[in-house]
Amino acid sequence: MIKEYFSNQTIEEKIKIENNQIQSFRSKNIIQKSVRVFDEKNKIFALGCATGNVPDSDLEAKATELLSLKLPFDYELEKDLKADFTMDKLSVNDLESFTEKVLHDLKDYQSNYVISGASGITEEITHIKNSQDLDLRCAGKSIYIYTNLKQKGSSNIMDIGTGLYGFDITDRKYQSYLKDTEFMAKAYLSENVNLENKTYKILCPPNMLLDKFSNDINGIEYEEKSSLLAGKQFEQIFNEKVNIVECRITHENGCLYMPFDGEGIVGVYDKPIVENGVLKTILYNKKNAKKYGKKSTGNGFRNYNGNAYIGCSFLKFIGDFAKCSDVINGEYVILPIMAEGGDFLPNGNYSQPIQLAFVFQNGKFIGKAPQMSINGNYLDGFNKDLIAFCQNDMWENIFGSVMMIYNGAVSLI
Amino acid sequence: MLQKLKDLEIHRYAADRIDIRIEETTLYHIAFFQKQFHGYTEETSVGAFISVFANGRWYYRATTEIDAIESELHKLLQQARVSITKTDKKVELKETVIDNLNSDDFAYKLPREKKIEHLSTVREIVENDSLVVNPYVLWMDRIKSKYYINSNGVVYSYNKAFTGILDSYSLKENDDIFETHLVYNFQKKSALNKLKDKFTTDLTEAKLFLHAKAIEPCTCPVVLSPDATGIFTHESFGHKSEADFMIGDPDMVAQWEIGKKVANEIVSIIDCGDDPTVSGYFPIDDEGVPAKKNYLIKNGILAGRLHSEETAKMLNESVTGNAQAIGFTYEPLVRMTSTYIDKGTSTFEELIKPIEKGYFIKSVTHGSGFSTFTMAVNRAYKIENGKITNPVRMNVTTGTVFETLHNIDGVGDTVEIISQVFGGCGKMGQYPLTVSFGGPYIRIKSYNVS
Repeated sequence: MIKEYFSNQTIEEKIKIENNQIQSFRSKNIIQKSVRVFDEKNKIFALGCATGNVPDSDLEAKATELLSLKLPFDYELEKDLKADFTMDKLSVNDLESFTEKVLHDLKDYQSNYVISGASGITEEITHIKNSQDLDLRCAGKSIYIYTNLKQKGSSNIMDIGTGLYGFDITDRKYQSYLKDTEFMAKAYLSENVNLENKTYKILCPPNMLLDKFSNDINGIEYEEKSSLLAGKQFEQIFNEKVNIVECRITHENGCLYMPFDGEGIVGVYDKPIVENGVLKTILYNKKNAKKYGKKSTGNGFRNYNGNAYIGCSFLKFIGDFAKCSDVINGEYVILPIMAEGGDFLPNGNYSQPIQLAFVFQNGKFIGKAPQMSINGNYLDGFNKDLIAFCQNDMWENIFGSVMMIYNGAVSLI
Repeated sequence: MLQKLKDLEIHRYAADRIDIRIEETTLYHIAFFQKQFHGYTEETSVGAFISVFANGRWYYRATTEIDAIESELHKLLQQARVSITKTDKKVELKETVIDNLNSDDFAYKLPREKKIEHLSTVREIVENDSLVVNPYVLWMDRIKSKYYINSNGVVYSYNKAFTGILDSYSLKENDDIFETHLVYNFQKKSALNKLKDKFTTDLTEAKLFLHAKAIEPCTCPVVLSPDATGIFTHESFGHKSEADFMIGDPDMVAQWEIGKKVANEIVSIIDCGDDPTVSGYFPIDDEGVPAKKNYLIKNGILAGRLHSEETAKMLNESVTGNAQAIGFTYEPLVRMTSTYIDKGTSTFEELIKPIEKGYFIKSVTHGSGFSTFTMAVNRAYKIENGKITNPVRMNVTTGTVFETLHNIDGVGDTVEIISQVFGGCGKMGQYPLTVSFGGPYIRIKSYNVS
């Protein structure tokens, strides 16, 4: 019998901002645990789990009892590896002072906006060990602040949002956050630009088009041919300018630090997914790798109370790109700011409602766009509709380090 | 558990307000994927959320150590600069105990082998069909008990339980793929008698969509099913009724004056958390305020909004019982409970009849609400010359809230409420709150579909 012990502990200090000031303080320290018992002889396993510091022996007893359900497994577990991936670079200790400083630095916006949001310091500790001498521990501490600005008189919960996420906050990053907020706060008060139902250049983080792609590279979807990319591994699927890695440590889109997966496979921090437009990697966990005769790519993600599923972390675009400020010259370029509620069809077609967008002409901001939806096909977005990728030198804290420009069909609402 | 809370005598501390909420949540989860037994989980978690209000700020702490609540409370009092020495203050306790789960009829009380047997009924339907790819069949029970006390003397406990079965799959033939799912939520064992019919009918209908053609984006009349009406109501107007968006903004209070016309006069929207048969059952909120029937719109006129104690005080209005947290690690926010459009007078046929060219939206995958609201559509049909005709592929619908509320020109005569077990509503990092929503069939005379 192999026994596997998994725990995830979250230690968080959070401050909530409401009506331009600190409203509350929240502390939590919660551990969630599980024990899985694997009967190698009968190839069955079971799980016992709990929230709170329940003794491992109780969870082990529960898992052993549930072996009677004969839940099947048919793969090798990791063994003989010990490592500690603790990361603590955070220099901010006093969250309240930090939050007060942010509110002070944003006070000039209070004439037009009501500021709400939250700040927090979070430590996530994940530990997986088994009776085959696997013992991996990861602890990552990070800080965040997000600030929502609601224009006075607006019926929205928020009109614009800016934020700052990091394993630490450098002065450069902080100044960049203030610059982003200043731009957003001024731009939001501008007039609408007249646009028509036609194709415009869209400037956006490329991940806006990737929801379906991350599903299409899931090993199950790929092997069962329900993926749009089925059978296309090692083929050219995108323009040759496209290089994508699956990233396990990033502070873009929130902080992520995941040195190993939920099955104890120590991952590659930047795993190549697409190289020069060629699809290189399909994602597998242990169970499905075995089923389809492949090797796990370390994508067996799991929560404490469940078994591993095939997960995909942050997809990052890499390459040497010109600066965004240098490539948005010429005719109208639309920058979506709020894009909620879009969806994809199985053929890759998407419709993305845009609640707020800004318009640029000859590299300069000229006003807000009317509400619209952008329609297209995500494969076209990285092929015939793609104009360029660019290094985000303008709003890095909001959209991440890389942006793309492509031709998108706009329908006004 | 209530006695444990009462023994703390929290009214005797000098803080402006203290609330303690203990939540016990049990989840049973059985999953089959690709025709194989995929997972079984039984989990009971117990935790407490402690709140202290002092010197104009709230201080919160979440813990799983129920026996350590008093020491955790003392830490919070110290953080809030309040003495941990008790005063002589007295308070009269107002205690409410609601036990909804004392019947054996609840489906969650079935032994796990029986649940697996019922799931096999659904598995046989989807797993044996040659067009079905990646079938995922899931059973979930969600049982919650809450125990609460505050320093004003409010003490309560209540419990609730819901069960859900989900099947999710793709249909594939040649190059055509249609991804779909059915969720069936219920409370009592008797609902299991309908499993075979429900899931068979659903699969038969899903096949109609496999080779359906995509629509051209347009603005046209549509009829929404009760499911779609519910998501529309929740996303479009429900979130705008949550009064916390008015905090610090007196202009908004004037703009959202009660009595203002905001919808066609045939539209009334209600939020009410007192029905124990739906998932949005929250008979007393996380500030100790009982649920009541709140008209948000009555006959097209803005009639009310949803409040926590803070927002009610700020707007000088009555509390409504809408402060909820998703679990013991979170503070309450202003949230909906069970939100629906009230019934009108039309039959489904009467709603369809005047439409020459439009769409009937039957099921929706997800929705979101902002200055515009959106719904991602799973199943929709064409309406031609007053009749439902071909199934179509529709992606997303969008609209601006008030324009759409004015464009509702027909309301059906029967309300259906949709409960949630697998998902729920998300707000400010708190997901999922198992609210419910619904309404009758409604007709919107002009609507953006793509």
